[in-house]
Amino acid sequence: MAFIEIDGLTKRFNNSVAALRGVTLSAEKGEWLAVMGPSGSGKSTLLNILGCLDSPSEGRVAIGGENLAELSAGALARFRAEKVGFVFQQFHLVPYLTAVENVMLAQYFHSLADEAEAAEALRRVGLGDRTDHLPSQLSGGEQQRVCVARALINQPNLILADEPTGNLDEVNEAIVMGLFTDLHREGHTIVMVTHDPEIGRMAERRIELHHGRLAEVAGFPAGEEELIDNLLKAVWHAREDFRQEVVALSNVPEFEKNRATFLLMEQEQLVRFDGGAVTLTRQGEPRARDLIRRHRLAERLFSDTFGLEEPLLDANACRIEHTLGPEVTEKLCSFLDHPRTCPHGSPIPRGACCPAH
Amino acid sequence: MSNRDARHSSGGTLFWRIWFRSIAGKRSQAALALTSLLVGAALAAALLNLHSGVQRKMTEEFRSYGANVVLAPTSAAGASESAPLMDEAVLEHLAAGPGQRGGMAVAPLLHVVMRVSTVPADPRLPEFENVVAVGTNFSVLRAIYPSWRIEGSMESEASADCVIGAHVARRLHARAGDTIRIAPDEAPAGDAPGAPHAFRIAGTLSTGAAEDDQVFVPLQALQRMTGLAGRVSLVELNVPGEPAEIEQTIHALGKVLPGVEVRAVHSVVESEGKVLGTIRGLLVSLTALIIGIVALCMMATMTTIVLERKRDIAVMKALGATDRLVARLFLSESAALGALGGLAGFGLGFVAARALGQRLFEVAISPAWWTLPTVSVATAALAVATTAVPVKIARTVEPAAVLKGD
Repeated sequence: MAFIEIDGLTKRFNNSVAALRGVTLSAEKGEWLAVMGPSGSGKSTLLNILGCLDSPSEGRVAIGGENLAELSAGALARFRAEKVGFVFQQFHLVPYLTAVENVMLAQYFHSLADEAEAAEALRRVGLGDRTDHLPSQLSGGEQQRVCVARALINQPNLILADEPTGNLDEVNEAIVMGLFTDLHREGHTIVMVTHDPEIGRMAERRIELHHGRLAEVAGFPAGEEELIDNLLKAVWHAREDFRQEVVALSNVPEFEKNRATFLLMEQEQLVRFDGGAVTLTRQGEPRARDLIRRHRLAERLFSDTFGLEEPLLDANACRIEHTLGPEVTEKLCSFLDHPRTCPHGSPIPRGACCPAH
Repeated sequence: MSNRDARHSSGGTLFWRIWFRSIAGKRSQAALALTSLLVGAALAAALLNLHSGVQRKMTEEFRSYGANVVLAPTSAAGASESAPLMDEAVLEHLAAGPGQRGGMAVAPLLHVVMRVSTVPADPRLPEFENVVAVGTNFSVLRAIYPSWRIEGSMESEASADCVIGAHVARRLHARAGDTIRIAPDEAPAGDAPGAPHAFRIAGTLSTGAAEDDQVFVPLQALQRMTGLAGRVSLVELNVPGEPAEIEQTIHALGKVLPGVEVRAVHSVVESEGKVLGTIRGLLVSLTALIIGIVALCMMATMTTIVLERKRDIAVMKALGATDRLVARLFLSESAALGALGGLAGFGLGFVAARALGQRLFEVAISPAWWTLPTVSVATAALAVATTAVPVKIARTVEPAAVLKGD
C-alpha cells in the first residue's frame, strides 16, 4: 500500500466550480513529489486536502493507511499536528512570537514544547543566532528557514510545501532547497507545489495539473541524466582550467542556470558544496572522468579517422559519448593506440586498457 | 526528536508567553477592552458601595421615625379588663427570644386615665384634669423617638419624676420643676383605690401628636398606683434592619409570644421598604445599563482582536491547534483582562462612592468588602461571557481559505 493514496479526488467549491476533477495518484513513503501547473489548476487545493485543511467533495484520500474522510475534526487536528509539516510561500509565522517560540508552537500543539529542542532545530537551519528575533527582524529567507524548522520539529511523515521559494532570492532559494534535500534524504515524504521547473526538477517525480485534472506524471526525464553528465563535465573542465580540486562556483558558469540540478547532484552525492565552492565526490569523480574520457576519445576518432574539424567535432562527440559502453570505449582507446590528448590538446583520462607508461 | 517523553516541557510557559505577547502585540485593543471593563467595574463598585452605605444611612434615618413593631394583647387576652392588658413577662421573652439583636430598643407602655392636678392647687383651674398617664421607661422611649422635643430633662429617671405633654402643661399652667399630683380615676374592681402620688415635672414633651396630651411616669410607679403590677398595655419596639429582616423578626416573635399580637407599624416599615426599594431599583437599573454597555464594548473589541488575528488562528489550526485550545487562548485573555479591570475598578469605584456618598447623601461610605470579590469575579465572568461571540468566529476560521487569501 502506498503512503499517499488518492483515488478519484474531486473538489468543488460552492457546489459548482471544480478545483480538482477525479485525480488519482499515489506516492511512496520517502518520495519527493513536485506538483506543477498553471495558476488555478488545483495545486494548492490538492495540498490543502493532503494537509487535512480541506475535505474532498468526492473520492478517497488516505495517508499512511488512514482514510482522512473517516477522521473527526479533533482527529484531523491531531493528524496535522503529528503527521504533517507545512511550509508556506508567505511563511505564516506568528508575528508576535520569536523564532524559537514559533517553532515551539508546533511542538505545543503536538505534545510538549521544548525550548532547547526548538533552538536546536533553528541551529540546524542555520539560525542558531536568531532564536530570539521576531519575524519582522528576519529576512524572507530566514523566515522561511524558521518555517522549515517549524515543519520538521515534530519529525512529521509528510511535509507539504506550497511554493516554498516563491518569495526568496536565489541565495536563500538554494539554502532552503538544500534543507529540503536533507529532509528528503532523511526519509521524509515531500509534496511540493511549485511553478519553477528548476525546483520541480529536484523532485523524484513531477505531476502536472491542468484545470484540476492530472495532465502528466513524469519521473526523471531522459534528458535529466544527460544534463547531469554535462554539468559533471563542466566541473571537470573548470578544475582543469584552474588546476584546483575545489572549484569556486563563480568559475562554473553553468551553475547559475542549473542551480536546482546542482542541488539534485548534491543530493545524489555526485558533488559537494562547501562555502561557495564545488568538489566532485568519490561517486562523481569516476563518472566525470569516464564521461570526459569517452568524449575526448570520440573527438580523437572523428578527428584522426574522419578528418572532421570544429564545430562538427564537438557536436558529434557529444552525440555519441552517451552511447559508448565501457567495452566499446576500451576497444576505441586501443584502436586509437591509447591517445594521451584530445584534438584540442586536453588530456584524456587513462583507462584500464591503457599501458602504464 | 519528536518523542514526547524526551521533551523538556515548556508548554505551560509557552501558553502564557503567547497570551502575554498577543496582548502586548494588540496594546490599543487590549487597552480599550481593559478600559471598558475598568470603567464598568468602577461604576458597579461605586454603586454597590454607595448602595450599601446609603442603605445603612436610610435604615438609621428610618429608625428615628419611632417604633416599627408593636406588641399588643389580643382581644381574647384582655377580655376581662376594660382596656386589654398583657403580662409584663413578655419583656423577658423579648430579652432571650428570637429577633433579639443588638440595637433593638424595647419600651413597655401602660396607658391609664388618671386624675392630674397641680401642687399646690391652682384656684383658677378645675380640681383635676382627666389625663392619659403613660407608665414607661422614658429614656428608652426617648431613644425610640429621637425626634421628640423635650424642654427640661429626665436625667435621673427618678421614680418621682414625670414628663408631661405640652398641651397638658399648658392646661395646668405647669412647667419643668413644678409638681403635679396624679391619682387613679377609679379603683380597679376588687382593689382599694391607690393613693395619689406627687411627681416633679422633669420636662415637657412636644411631638405634635397624642403624646402632647399625655403624662409619662415611671412604669412601676403607675402600676403600683393603679394596682396593675406586672401588666402593660403594649410594648413598642424599634427593630433594626431592613424591612425584610423586620418582617422576619415579627414572624419569629409571633411564634414565641402566644396571646400577644405582634404587628408592624406599616407606615414606617412600608416607607422604609419603598424608599430602599426605589434606591435599590435605581442602582440595579444603572448597573444593568452599565453592564450592557460594557458587554457591547467588550464584545466589539474582542471581535476586532479575533478578526485581526484571523491569520494567526489559521496558522495555529494548520499546525494542529484544536478549536478548544484556540478558544481557551481568547477566553483566558478576556478573563485576565476582566480580573485586572475588576480589581482596579473596585479601587476606583470605592473612591468614587466615597466622594459621592459624602457629597450627595452626607454619609461616610466604608468599604463593603463583599463587593471586591463580587465585582472582580463578575467583571471576569462578563469578559469571558462577551468573548463567546468572538470565540465562535475564531472557531469558524478555515485555515485553507484564510492562508490562501494572502
